[in-house]
Amino acid sequence: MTLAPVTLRSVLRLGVVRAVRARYFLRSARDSRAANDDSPFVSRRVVSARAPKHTREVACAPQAFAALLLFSQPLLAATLPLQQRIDAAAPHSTIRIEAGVHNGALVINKPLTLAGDAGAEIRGDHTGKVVTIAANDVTLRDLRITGSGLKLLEDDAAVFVTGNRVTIEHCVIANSLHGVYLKKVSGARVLENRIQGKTTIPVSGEPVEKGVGQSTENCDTALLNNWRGNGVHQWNCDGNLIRGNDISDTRDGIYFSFTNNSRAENNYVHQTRYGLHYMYSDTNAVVNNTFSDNAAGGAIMFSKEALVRGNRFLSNRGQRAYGLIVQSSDRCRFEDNVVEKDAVGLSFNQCNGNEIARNRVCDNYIGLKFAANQDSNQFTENVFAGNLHTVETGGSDIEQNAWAVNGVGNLWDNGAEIDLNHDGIGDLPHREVDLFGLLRRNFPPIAFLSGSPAVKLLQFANQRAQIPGVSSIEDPAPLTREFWKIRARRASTAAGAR
Amino acid sequence: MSLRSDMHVSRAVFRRELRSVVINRYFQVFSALALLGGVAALLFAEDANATGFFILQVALYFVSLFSLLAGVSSAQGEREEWPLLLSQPLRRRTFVICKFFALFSIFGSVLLLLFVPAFFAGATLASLALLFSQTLLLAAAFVALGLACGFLARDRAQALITAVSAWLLMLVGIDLVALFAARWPVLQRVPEIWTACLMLNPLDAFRIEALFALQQIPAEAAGTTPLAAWWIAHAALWFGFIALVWAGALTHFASARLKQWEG
Repeated sequence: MTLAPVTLRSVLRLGVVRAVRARYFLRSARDSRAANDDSPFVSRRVVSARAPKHTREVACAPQAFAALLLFSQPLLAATLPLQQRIDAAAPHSTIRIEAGVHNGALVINKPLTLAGDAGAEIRGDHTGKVVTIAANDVTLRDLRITGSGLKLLEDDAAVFVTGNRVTIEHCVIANSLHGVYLKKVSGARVLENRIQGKTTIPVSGEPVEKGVGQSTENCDTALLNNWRGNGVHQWNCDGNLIRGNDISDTRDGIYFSFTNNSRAENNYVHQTRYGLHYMYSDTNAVVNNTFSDNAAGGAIMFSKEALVRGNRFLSNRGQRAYGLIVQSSDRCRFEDNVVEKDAVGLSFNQCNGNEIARNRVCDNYIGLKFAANQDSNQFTENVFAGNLHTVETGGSDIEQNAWAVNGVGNLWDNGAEIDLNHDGIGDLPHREVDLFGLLRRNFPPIAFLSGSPAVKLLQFANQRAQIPGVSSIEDPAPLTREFWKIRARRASTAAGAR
Repeated sequence: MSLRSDMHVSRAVFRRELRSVVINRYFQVFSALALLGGVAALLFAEDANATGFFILQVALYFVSLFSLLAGVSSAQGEREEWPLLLSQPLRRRTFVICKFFALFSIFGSVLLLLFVPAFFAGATLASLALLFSQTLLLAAAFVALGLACGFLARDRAQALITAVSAWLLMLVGIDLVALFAARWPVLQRVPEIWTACLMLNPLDAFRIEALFALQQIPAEAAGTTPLAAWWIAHAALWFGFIALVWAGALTHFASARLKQWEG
């Protein structure tokens, strides 16, 4: 009990001494580094673990020494700029970043782990990149990272990565241009981050680039969607994993460009331009993501052999809004996705050899937009229901595609379910007609006839006798609503027999 | 005739109309359909938007048809009694207007059978109230059309044929013509005329208002001309206006026609 007041007094007194010495030590360290880049206080594990030798007071009071260590390390750490701690850290060591704001910009050029305490923030000065990772095997964890520049041409980003096998997890990224920019890297892991794009810039700030903003009433200037950065931007990458992130208010949510063998899964992307934007990228997997309230849920362009499975493309509305738009992409698989309440659910243009199976395309303004010049695409077991216009073909020739595979077509909610042999497959082909065709482009007010009983009457008539000169899809083996039940029953019967 | 006398006659016509409606077969079928529709919306609609869409379909096909038939039936039901009825000291216009309001108020009550269950399906009160008022206005326009057809025709069969033809014309005929006319390049250059034709049809005005309100059609899809953009922005207002104009004009026509029969 007598120790406490002594210790407290010692600590208070020695704390001051320590702070003074720490400041002196830092200054000398900076001078030393300026003269010779080899820092005199390099630690092997944690930067503050190798402090200078202790003073006489400390040596005379072991209890005070212990308490002093506790007080002085944070004090020293807080006093050292984060960049110096990074520079001083040993490769593969961990730097704990205390709560509070730490100034960027930071450059990490050795394998390190930066782990934030609750409330730790790295804040840029709204120029350039906030954290640049130029080394392999770097991990950022539990940090809030804000305040990048806004110059698209200079790739400004909250986290800019050029090293391989980098992990960024459980971070909050806001008020920046790009969230995470992965440039020519492989094996990066972006896990369970919250990335919120920058939507306004102060009216007093210098214009970022010509034409960026437009005035609003709250004295801020809106950052137009096309001038924002992307949530996760990948360029020329290979083997990345983007998982469990919540991304909003960016230009594109997850952007693939010349990026192969990567995977995006369980992400939630909303209120962006394209939730998923995918250019010239091959053999990637997009699995179990949700894209809602974007201008387009997903846009897959000029790519090959993508796997798009189990995603939800929801409520992407607006004139040019799509659930999923696929352009000039071949041999991809689209399976088990839900495409609902979009302006256009699925759109394919100049695509070949794709497999579209078991998707639910429901309650969209246009369910399936299928343009010309594409062949060998296969549609099977998809459900088209509740769409105001089930298909838009633009009056093009679409006969080179398969609307049934191995005798199994798709479910069309406005089809006549004539199934005399009770196999779940309709006995008559189903025709899905696009009555508006090119008029949508040439005469937009034709949209006023959407949902008209007259249009439904003509569609009904076309199912019985094809109207000449009108483009339509013909599914030779349309499914009935009972198809899945019948198949399951047969499977269980067959299993029982075995 | 004094105002007091008018009121007395109005009440009498109103009561008489209520009694005749109760035993009207069209009305009984419609009441059953409205109840079934409401229960179906409650059971099968996945969300509030789907409920609204379902009610839209019911209103478009059934409310318009049955209110039309009720109007025809009301006009023709007492045709044999006209010499006696019209010998009474009542204005012809009052007689027709009282019939109209009696049917209108009854439809307002029966439509609750359709809308109240939908409220429990998750639809908001505001959206349902708006859709209810618009459906009621649609019913008003078609009750008036039914009365006009009823007083126009010589007998019940002719009245029914005229009314159903008018209904089919408004339901599909105008849209079919519009669909084919839209391919005509000359008309494509004046889309306002094409759009105006649709705007004047209460069924089209109702459908467009409901579909845009339910966001089934993206607002930008059609709003490429000033008139189209104005229509989309004021679809509810326009429908209310056009329905009232149709109801007023047709009621006036019906009373004028009744005077002609008398002459």
